[in-house]
Amino acid sequence: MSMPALARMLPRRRISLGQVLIYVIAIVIGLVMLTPFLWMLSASLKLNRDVFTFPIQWIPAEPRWQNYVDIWTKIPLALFVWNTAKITIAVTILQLLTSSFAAYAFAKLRFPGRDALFLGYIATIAMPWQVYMVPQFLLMRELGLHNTHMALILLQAFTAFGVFLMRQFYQSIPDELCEAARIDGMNEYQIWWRIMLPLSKPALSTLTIFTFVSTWNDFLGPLIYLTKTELKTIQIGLRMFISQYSAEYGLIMAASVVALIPVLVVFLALQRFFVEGIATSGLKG
Amino acid sequence: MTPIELYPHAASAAWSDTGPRASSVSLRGVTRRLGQAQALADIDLDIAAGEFVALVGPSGCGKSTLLRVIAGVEDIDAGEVRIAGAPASDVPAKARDLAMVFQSYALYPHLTVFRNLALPLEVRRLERAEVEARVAQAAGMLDIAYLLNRRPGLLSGGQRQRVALARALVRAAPLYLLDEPLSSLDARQRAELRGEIARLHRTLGATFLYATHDLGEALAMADRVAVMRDGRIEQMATPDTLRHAPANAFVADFIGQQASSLAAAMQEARAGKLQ
Amino acid sequence: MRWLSAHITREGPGVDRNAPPRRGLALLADVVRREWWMLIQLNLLYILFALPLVTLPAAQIAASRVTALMLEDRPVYLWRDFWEAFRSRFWRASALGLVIVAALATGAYATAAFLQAAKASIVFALPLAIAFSTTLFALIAAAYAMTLLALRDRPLHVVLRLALLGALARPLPALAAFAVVALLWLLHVVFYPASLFMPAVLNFSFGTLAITFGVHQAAIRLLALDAGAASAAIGAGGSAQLRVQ
Repeated sequence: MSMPALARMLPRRRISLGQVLIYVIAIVIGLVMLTPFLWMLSASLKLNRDVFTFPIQWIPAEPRWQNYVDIWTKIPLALFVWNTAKITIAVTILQLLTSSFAAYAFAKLRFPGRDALFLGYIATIAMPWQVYMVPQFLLMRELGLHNTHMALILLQAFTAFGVFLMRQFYQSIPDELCEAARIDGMNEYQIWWRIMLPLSKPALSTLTIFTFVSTWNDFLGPLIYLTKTELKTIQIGLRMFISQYSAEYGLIMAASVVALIPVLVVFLALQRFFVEGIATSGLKG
Repeated sequence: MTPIELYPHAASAAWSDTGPRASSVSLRGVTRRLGQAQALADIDLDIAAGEFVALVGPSGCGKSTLLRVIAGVEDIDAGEVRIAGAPASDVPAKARDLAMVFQSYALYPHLTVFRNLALPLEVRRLERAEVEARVAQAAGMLDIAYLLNRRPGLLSGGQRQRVALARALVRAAPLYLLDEPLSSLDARQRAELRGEIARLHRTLGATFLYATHDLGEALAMADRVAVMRDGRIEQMATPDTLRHAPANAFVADFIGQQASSLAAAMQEARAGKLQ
Repeated sequence: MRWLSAHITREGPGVDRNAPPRRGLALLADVVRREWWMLIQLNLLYILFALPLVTLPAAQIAASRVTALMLEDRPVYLWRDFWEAFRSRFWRASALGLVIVAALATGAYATAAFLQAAKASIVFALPLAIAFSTTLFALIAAAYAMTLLALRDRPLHVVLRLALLGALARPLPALAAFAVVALLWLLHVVFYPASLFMPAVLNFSFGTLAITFGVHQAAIRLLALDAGAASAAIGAGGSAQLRVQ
C-alpha cells in the first residue's frame, strides 16, 4: 500500500511541534532515569575490576554469569531473602488491614472528634522518621524487641499515609451503599468486610505497591534494629560484600538485581490490576 | 437441560405463611438541622399499620430526610420516633426491621443480583434453602429471574430499580420506605413499576411510605398524602380531600402546578379500573 | 475521586429479557468473561486444597462442581460450594482418583511397552493401537466420572457405569477439552519463565472449566437416563428409592 493511501486510512491528526517536543523530553528523561538500572544490570555481569572501566562497557565482552551463582554462596543471601520476604509480607498485610479499617471509620462513621483526630493523624506524615527514630528505638529496646523482626513489623503495621489513601477512596463510594447495608442488617464490621473491602481493590493494590516496595527496600529500619547476621534483610545483607579494604561491586550488583525482581513482579502485576480493576473487576457486568 | 442438584434438602419456603406483618409509625416533634437549613421542623406524623402514605413536595422539602430519620440512618436533634408502638429513636438502623429503596438504588456493585438479594438474609443467618427460596420468590414477583447472575453494572435503570425493590421485598419487612424510587426512569418504566409497587403493597399488606416529587404519582397510589414544604407537613389527607379542600395556598398552588401530571395520573388510574 | 461514584451509579446497557440462552462456545466465552475473577480465585483455592496431593481428586471434584454451577448460570458461592463438594464427596473422590490413576498408569505402561515392541516387530502395532486407544478411553471416562460425581451425589459404581457409557457415546467433546488443557500447559512450558503465573492463576480452573464444559451436556443426559431407570424400578418394586440417593 502506498504511503498516501495509508495516510488517508489513518485518522487525520495534526501533530504540533509542541507535542513532538514533549515526547522527546519525556523519552530523554525516561532514558536518564533508566540508565542506573541498565548500568546495574551490566555491572552485575562483570568482574569486580571491570566495573568502573571507562568508557563504560554496556555489554560486557565476557558476561560473567558466575556472579549470579556466587552471591548465594558467599553470603547467606537465601536467608536474607527469606527474612525480607517475611517482614515485607507481614507488614503489607497488616497495613492493608489496619489502613482500610481505620479509613472506613474516618470516611463513613460519625463520631465526635472524628475530623480533628483524622487531621492529627495525617499531620504525623509531615514528621520525618529520622526525628523520632532514636526515642522509638529506645522504647523498643525497653520492650525487649530489638534484634527481632517483630519490632519492624509492629512499627510499620500502621501508617497514616495508608489511612489517608484509603479514606480518600472510601469517600468516593456512595454513602447510600453503607446505609443500605445497615438497613439490610449488617453491622459496621460486616459492611467493611463484605462491601468496602471488595470494592476497594484498586486502592488496596495501590497501597500494596507502595507498602511492598518501601518495606522491601527499607534500609534504615533494619540497619537500626537488626544487628545479628541471621536476622538481616537483603538491603543490609548486601553490605557484607563490602569489606574493610575492598568491595565486590559485581556481586553487589548481581544481588541487587535479584533483590529487585520481587518488587518488579509486584509492581507489574498490580499495576495492571490497578488500571483494569476499575474498569472490570467487581464492577463488571 | 436438567439443572444440577443443588439443595437436596430444600424445603419449600414457608415465608409468606406467617401472614401479613405491618408496623405503624408515629413521629412526635421530630426536628433535624442539616448545616444551616432546617431539614425537618417539628414533624408530627401518624401512620397506621398497613397504610400506603405518600410524601410529596418540591425537592429539598425534607421528604428524603424524613424517610432517613425513620430508617435510622439519619440522627434527629429533637423529638421521638416510634415504630410499631415502640420507641425507636435509639434503635440502630440494622435493628429497626424495615426495608428501604433508595433513589440511587444502592445496589452492591461487586455482587451478582442473586447475592444482592441474598445478603440481607445471609446476614440474618437464614438457612441456605430458605434464602434460595425467598430470593426465587422475590425475583419471580418482580420478574427479574433472568438477571440473577448478572452484576448491577450491566443493568438498565429500570432493571436496577426492580432489583432494588426485590432486595427490599426478600426481607418481608413490616415497613417499607421508598425514596423517589421512580424518579430516574422514563415514563413507560415508571408506569410499569408504579403498578408493581401498588401490587406489592396489596400482596404484602405492609406499611408503605413513599416519597416522590410527582403529585400525580402520590395521588394515584397512596391512601393518604402528606404535602411537605421546608421541613414541615403542610397538609396530610386522603387524595380526595387534598384535591377538593386544600388546607392552604401552598397546597392549592402545588396541586395547580402539577395539574398536567395529575390529569395523566387520573387517566391512568381510570384505565386501571376499567381493566 | 467522584469517578467511582459515577462509575457505580452509571446505568448499564441493560440485559435483554428475551435473549435466547447462550449455547456452546458462546456460553463458554460468556462464562469466562463474567467469571474470570472468580476463576482466578478458584485456581488459588484448587492449588491450596490439592497441595497435599492425596486431596487432589476431591479438589478436582470441587472445582468441577463450581465450574458446572457457572456453566448452568447459577449463583455461585465460591468458598461454600467448593468446601461442601470437597467435604461431602471426599472419600468417593479419593477412591475414584485411585481407580483413575491405576487405569491410566496401566494404560500408559502398556502403551509404552508395546511401543518398544512395535519398534522391533510390526506385529505389535495392533496391540499398541489397542493399548493407546484404551488409555485414551480411560482418560475420557475419567473426565465423565469426575464431572458426574461433581454434579450428583451418586454411589461410585453408578458413576463409573455412567462414565463408561458416556465415554462410549460422546467421547469427542471431552477429547477436545483435554486438548485445551494440554494447550494451556503447553503454553506454560513454551513461555516458561514468563508464564510462571499461568499455573498459579488460571491453568487448573480454566482447564477444569474446559473439561466440565466438554462433558456437561452428555453427563446431564446420562443422569436423566439413570433417574428414569430408577423411577421405573420404583414403579416395579417398593424400596428401590433408597438406591437412588
